[in-house]
Parts: sequence; structure tokens; C-alpha cells
Amino acid sequence: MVKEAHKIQLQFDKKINNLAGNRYGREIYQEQLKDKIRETERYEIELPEIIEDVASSFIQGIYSELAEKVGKEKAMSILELHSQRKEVDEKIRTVLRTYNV
Amino acid sequence: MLNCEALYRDNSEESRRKILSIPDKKGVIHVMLKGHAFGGSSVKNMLAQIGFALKTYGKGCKEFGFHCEEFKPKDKLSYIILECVLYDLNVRYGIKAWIEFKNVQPQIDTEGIGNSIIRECIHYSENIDILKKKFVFEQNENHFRRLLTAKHSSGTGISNLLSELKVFFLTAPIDRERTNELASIICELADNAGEHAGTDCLVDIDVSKEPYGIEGDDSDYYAVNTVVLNFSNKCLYDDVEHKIKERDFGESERYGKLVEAYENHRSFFENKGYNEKDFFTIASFQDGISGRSGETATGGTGLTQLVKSLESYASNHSCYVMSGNQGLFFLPDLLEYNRDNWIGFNDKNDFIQQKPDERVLLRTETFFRGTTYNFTLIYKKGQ
Repeated sequence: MVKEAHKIQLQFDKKINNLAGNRYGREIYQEQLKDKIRETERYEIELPEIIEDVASSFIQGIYSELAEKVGKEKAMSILELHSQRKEVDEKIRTVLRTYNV
Repeated sequence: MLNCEALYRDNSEESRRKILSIPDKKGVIHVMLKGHAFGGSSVKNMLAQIGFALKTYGKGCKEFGFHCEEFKPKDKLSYIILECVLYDLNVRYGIKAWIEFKNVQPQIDTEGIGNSIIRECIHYSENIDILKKKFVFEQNENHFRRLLTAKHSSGTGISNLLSELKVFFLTAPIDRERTNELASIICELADNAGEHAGTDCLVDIDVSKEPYGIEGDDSDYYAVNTVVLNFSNKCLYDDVEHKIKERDFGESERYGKLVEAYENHRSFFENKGYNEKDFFTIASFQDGISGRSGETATGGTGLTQLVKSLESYASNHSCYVMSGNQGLFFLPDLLEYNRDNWIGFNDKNDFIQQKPDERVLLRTETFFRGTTYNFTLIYKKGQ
């Protein structure tokens, strides 16, 4: 039986509507996710609707620390990054597939 | 602050063989820049002259005047390096420095020189504050310039850069998807510079003011010329080279494979052709390979895929990375990852066993300690 995923919504400064930078992705993971997640659970990580675009570098950064610890595939099964905006969500899926984060 | 000291020092060998300028009675060093195209040897000669003068004459060196009949930069990077040198001398050394030329010959890939500090430097050096402002920040319809400090590029700095780039590109006569891709690449490179080098990163973009035409073709063409540059105390290949030679990667299978590739490639290394630095430069673009100490599962960039996409929509292009005396040309037909996610920069897509195609290997006379990217992309209007 697949466990139901826990939902976590990420918070950003209201002036930010584009996300970029590997370092910033890692920073957000450490500040908003690291202490909340357990590796035996699944989490849906939601980007707020105000975010219009997210660069591949940021996405890679979000997964970086966890991927170092448990491997990329496991990290992607623990954390599922989503956006309420369809085009942003599609981009996330493409990045995760193409760059094998 | 941008610091060109290593540029002068690393290119001083030339000074042992050339006739060097001596200061006149007012302490002005006049440097004649010979040759039609400004790039390569003329840049190196200029740097050697500066290094020698600063070292030899110290405070006796009051002013630098560079003289050129026909100023025709080889590409955008050539004149951007000149800008950095002029800025460095005027601001960091406090030595007035300017360039005089009788005729400028911009091409489609160097049109941005119209917005450059080079042309007016002789006036700006009388008012350093204007020079400083114009060097670190500019934005108009055709020109985007930012000097990002390592501190400003951390946190939300790169996210802000992405937003600013998107606003800049709103008026460009080029498809939005292309400019969004280019904006993403620029942000990734600026992020890397801040993290790996810990130094300032200069981003400069120019978009053609007026369209260009080609004989026999009714279409309008526009160029987007971009330089992303950082000076640092290391070259692009240094971190990965250190990691491999010091075996700083634990039990990682991926890095084990990289070591295997290195052992295979050693038989290809030549004095004048493909060499070890080329190998580690290519290694730094491999998926899952990072120069970051302690990191083995992530790293490398999606840069090559982004560049490939960008080039596929351009009518013409020239994109390269330069570090030290060498670098790589990003040729679209050689930017393919194989099924194991290695990129060989050869027509076999084989990194582990095969050396890269000779065409991707870049060589330059000037030694550049740091990393710089030069992208020239020419688009048909509306493409």
C-alpha cells in the first residue's frame, strides 16, 4: 500500500517570483525541509502560486543534500516537488526527468 | 572587487621578449596596440606591458594610454577584458587609464561596444564615480550589465537576477522561450561563480539595436551577445582535478568510472594537442560530477543541454568557455549525453574510451585565471 504523502508548502519572500540558484535550493532545503522530513515517509513539496518560474539549478539544489545521503532515486521518491501553476509543474517534471536530479 | 592582478602576472612572460614602453616625463606609459583584430596576442601584449610597468615603475607610473589605429575586437569577451583592465587600473590602482582609437569596427557579435566604458574612458577617468557606476550596473533596451559580488549572489540574489533578466529581455525581438533559456543559463553560471570561486561575477549582455541582413536573404537577424566572467585564484578544471588526483570521492561508482576514463585518456595527452586540463574541463561538465568536496551524487550541470537547446534555435552561434589558456567550444552536434549520462564531446558520444573531437578544443594566448563564458547567438526575427 502506498503511503499518503505529507504536504509541506514552501515559503518565500513576497518579492520573489522566480527561483534560481543551486545554493538557494540547498538553503531552502536546510531551512524548511531537513528537520521536518523522515526518510521512511513521502512528502509533497508545494511551491506557492506566486512563483512563476523555477530554474533547474534551484531544483537540483533542493534535492542535493538528501540525494547525497540516500541517492537520487530515493530522494525523488521521498520529496515530490510541485507547483500550483501548470506550466511550472511541467517544467519541474521535465527537469527531474532530463537532468536525472 | 574585480581584481586583474593575476591577469598581469600570468601574462608577463611576453615582457621578457618584447620592447617595453617606458614612462614619459609625466609618467605616462603609452602602449601601442598593433594588429587589426584586438584579441589573442594583442590582449596578451597589453597585459604584459601593464604588468611590467606596475612592477618596474611603481608610483612612477602615473597614467596608461593605449593607442590603436583600427579597433576591431575579435569577439565580445576581448573588449570586456579590456573594460575590466581599464576599470582595475582606474579604480583599484588609482591610475588613470584610457584607450584611443581612430576607427572602431564593430561586427554583429561586438556591437555592444557602443555601450562600453571603453569609448569614454578617457573622460570617465576624470570622474571615477561615473566609471564605477557604469561598470557595475547598466540597463537599457539593448544593454544589461551587472557586477554581482559573491555575497550578493547568495541567498535570493540569483533569483533576483533571473527576474531582472526576464524584464530586460521583454523588449528583445526574440522568442520568449529562447530568452528564458538564456536567462536560466546566465543565472546558473553566476551561481557557480559565486559558489566555487567565491568571487565577483560580471554579466554583460547586448542585443542588436537594428537588424542585420544577409545577402540573398530577406530576413532580419538579431544578435544576443553574452559574457559571464569571473576572476578567481583557480581555473575551471582545478577542483575536479584535485578531487580525482586526491581520490576525494569515497566509494562513489560514478567517480570510479571517471578515474577509469582518466586512465584511458592519459594515452591521448599531447604537449600541443589534447591535454590533461582539457580532460578535467570536460569532466566538470559531466552529469553527477562536482568539484565540491564531499559531494558525489550530484553536481555537473544541465548547462550543456541548455546550450544545445539555445543553439538549436539560432541561425548562427559561437559559444565557448575559457579558463587558463584553454577551453571548450560548445558545438551542438557534440553536446549529446549517452545513455549512461556521459558527454564525450565527440561523434561517438563516448567519454570513457574516446578523446574529444579536436574542433571543441579552444586555445588562447592569454592566460585567464578564472572562468569566462562567451555566447554569441544570432536569431532570425521572431524565431
